[in-house]
Amino acid sequence: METQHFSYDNKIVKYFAYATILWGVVGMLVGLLAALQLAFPVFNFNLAYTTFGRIRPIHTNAVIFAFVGNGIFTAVYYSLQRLLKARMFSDKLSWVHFWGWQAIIVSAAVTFVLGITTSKEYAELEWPIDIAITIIWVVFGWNMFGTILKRRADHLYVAIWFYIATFVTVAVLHIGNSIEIPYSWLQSYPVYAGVQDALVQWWYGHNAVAFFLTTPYLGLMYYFLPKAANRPVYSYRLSIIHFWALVFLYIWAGPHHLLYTALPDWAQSLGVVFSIMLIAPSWGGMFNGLLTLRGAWDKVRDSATLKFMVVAVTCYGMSTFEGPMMSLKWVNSLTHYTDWNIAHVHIGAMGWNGFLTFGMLYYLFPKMWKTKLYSEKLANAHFWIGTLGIIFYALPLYWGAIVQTLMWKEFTPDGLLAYPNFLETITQILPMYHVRVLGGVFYFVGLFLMVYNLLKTAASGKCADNEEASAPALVTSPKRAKGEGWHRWLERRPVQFMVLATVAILIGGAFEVIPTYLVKSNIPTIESVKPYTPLELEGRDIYIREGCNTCHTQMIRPFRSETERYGDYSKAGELVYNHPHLWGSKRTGPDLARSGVPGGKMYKTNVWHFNHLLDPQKMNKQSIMPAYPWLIKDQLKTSNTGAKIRAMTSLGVPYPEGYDQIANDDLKKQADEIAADLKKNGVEVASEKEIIAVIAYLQRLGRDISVKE
Amino acid sequence: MKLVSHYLQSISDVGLFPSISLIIFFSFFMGMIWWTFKKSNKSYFHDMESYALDDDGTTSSSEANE
Repeated sequence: METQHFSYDNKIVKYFAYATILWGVVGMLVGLLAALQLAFPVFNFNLAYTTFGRIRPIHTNAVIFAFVGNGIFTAVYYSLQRLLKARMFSDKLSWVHFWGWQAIIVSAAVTFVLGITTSKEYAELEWPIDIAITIIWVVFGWNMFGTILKRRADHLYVAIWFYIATFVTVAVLHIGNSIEIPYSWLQSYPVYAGVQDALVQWWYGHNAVAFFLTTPYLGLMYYFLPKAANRPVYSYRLSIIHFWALVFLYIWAGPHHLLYTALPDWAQSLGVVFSIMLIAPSWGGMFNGLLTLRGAWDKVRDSATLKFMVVAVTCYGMSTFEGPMMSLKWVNSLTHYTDWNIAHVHIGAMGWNGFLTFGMLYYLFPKMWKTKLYSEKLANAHFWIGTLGIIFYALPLYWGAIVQTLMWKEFTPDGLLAYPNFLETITQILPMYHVRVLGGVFYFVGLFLMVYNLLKTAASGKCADNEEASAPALVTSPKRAKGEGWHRWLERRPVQFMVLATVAILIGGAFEVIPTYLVKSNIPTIESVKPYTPLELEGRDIYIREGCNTCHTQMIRPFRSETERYGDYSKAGELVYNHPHLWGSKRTGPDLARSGVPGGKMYKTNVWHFNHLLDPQKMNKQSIMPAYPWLIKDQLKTSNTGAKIRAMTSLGVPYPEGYDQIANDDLKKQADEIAADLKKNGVEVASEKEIIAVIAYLQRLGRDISVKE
Repeated sequence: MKLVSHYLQSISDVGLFPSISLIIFFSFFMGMIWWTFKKSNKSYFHDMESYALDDDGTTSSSEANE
C-alpha cells in the first residue's frame, strides 16, 4: 500500500488555543464584575455601558461562544486531523474561520456595550452578526467535511460523530431562532411573538447548551481523556447508544424552561418527559468517561490534567442529573426564577466546560511544544483553587435560592404574603452574593496560574507549525462488506452519517415546533389587547437595550404566591404583539408583567418610576438595582419610529394603514401627557427624554386585560 | 390554564404528540441496544475502544505518548 507523506497544521490549533485562553480571561473577568455588581450596586459605575443588564450578556456570550467556542475549535482542529490522518482540508478556510470567529466576538462585545441586543438569552446578537455567524459556521463545516472526505483513515471515530452532530444542529438552531425583520441597519424584531417566540427561543437556548456546550465537549472527552490517561475508552458499545440517544432526545427538552408559563400544557409535558429520559444517555457518557480510568486511578493522583478531566466529567454527571430534576414541575416551581438556575449553569460552565478545557490545554501544550509542563505543582494548585472556586460559587447560590423561594411562597396564618416586599427576600440572601464573588475570585486566580504555567511551558519548547506525518492512502468502498453491520458501515460513510444525525434532530424539532406554528392561528384574539403605542414601543426598546429582562421577568405563574404578589397570571393571548417576548428567566427584581395595572399590586405612579430609575437606592436603601441617570439626560431617538411600525405591521401587528407616517405625532402627544403628570407632581422634565418612553411602557404592562381588583 | 386548553382543543389530537414521540424514540432506542449487543460486533468494538490511542502517524508520536 502506498504511504503518503503530509503534515498536520499545528499553527491553527495553537492560535485557537491562545484565543481560548485570552477569551477565558476576558469572559471570567467580566463575570467577576457581574458578580460584584449584584453584591454591590456601586460597581455599575452609574454608566450606561457598564450596567449589569449590558455586562451580563457580555459575560455569558464571552464564556460560551468565545471561551468554549474557541475551545471547541482547538479540540476539533487538533483531534480531527489526527483521527483522520489528514491535514485540514484548506488552510485558507481555517484562517477565515479563525479570524472570522474572533471578529464576531469583538463585534459582539462592542454591540452589547452599546446596548444593541435582541434580548433573547444566548442569542442576543443582532442580525448582521447573526449572518456573519452563519457564514463562518458554514466555513467551519465546509473545512471539517472537506477534511473528512479526503481522510486517510476509513473509520470515523466517535469524537467525530459528536463534531458532525454539533455542526448540523447548531446551524439548524441558529438559523431557526434568528429569523428577524430588520428595522435599521443594526437592529431588528424577531418574526415570532409571545408564546411562540419563547418556545423557539428555548428550543434554541436549551440546545445551545446541548450542542455547543455538550456534544462537542463529549467529542473532546472521547479523544483527549483516553489520550491523557493512555487507556482505551471503556465501552464503544455504550458510546454508540449514548450518542444516538443524546442527539435524538436533547432537542425535545427545551420547553422545560417554560413550565407553568403560558406555553401549552402538552408542550410542557413533552419537555418534562424527554428531560427525564435524558439522564440515561447523559450518564452513559459520564460513565464511559469515568470508567475509561478504571485501573488507572493511580495516574489521576499524579496528573493534574487527569484530575481536571475527572472533575469535569463528574460535574457533567451532576449537571445532567440536576437538569432533569429541575424539569419536574414541582421542583421547577421552586427553583425557577431563582439563583438555582445560576448555580446549575455554573456547575456546567466552570466544572464541565472550564475544567475539561483546562485539562485539554495542560495536555496539549507540552505535547505540541514538545516539552514538559513547566510546573505540575502549579497545575495542581490551579486544580485545587479552581475546585474551591466552584464550591464557593455554587453552594451559596443553592442555599440562597432555597431561602428566597421559600420566602416568596410563605403565607401568614391570615393568608397574607409573609414577605410582601420583594426586596426583603433579596436582602436576606445578599451575604450569599458576597460569598459567590469569593468563589469567582478563586476560580479566576486558578485560571491566572494556568496562563502563567502554559506560557512558561510554551517558552521552554518549540511548536512545529507543520508537523510531519505519514499514513497509507485511504482504501474504502461505498458498499457494505460481507458481515459488516449497518452501523459499522455508517461509521465510515460521513455523508450518510450526517443525514441520519440531521433526521434524528429534526424529528424532535418537528414535533415540538410545528404544532406551535399551528397554535398561532388558534390563539383567540382578546378584544381588549391592542398593539403598543409608538411611545410604549420606543420605551420597550429601551427596556430591551438596558437588559431589564435580565433581572425582571414578565411571566406570572398560576400560583397563589405569585398572583397575590404580582396580580393575575399571564395569558398567552395578551402576548401576541410581543416581538420579542420578554418573559425572562431570573427574578433578581420583582416580576413586571402587571406593573401597569392601575390599582394593581405592582402599580406605581409616574413620579415613583422617575425617581426610582434615577436613583433606586434613594427609594430603597437596600436595593441592588443600578441607577439609570442617562435616561433623564438623553433625548429619545424617534427617527426609527416609522420603520419600527412598518416592521411590526409586516409581522401582522394591526396598526392602521399609513400609521408609520403619523406615529410620531401620537408619540409626542402621549409623552407630553406623561411630562405634564410628572410636572403636576413636582418633577420637571422635558417630554423628549428617554425616561418618558420607559415610564409609558412600564405603565402599559398588563393593562390590556386587567381585571378590576 | 383555561385559555391555553381552549385553543389547543382546536389542534386535533394534540395529546397524542407526546405518546407518538415516546414510541418513536423507544423503538429506536431498543433497536439500537439490540444491535450493539449482537455478538458479531464484539471484536470490532474492542478495536475501536483503543482507536484514539493509535499512532497518529507523526514521527514523534511514539515517544510523546508516555
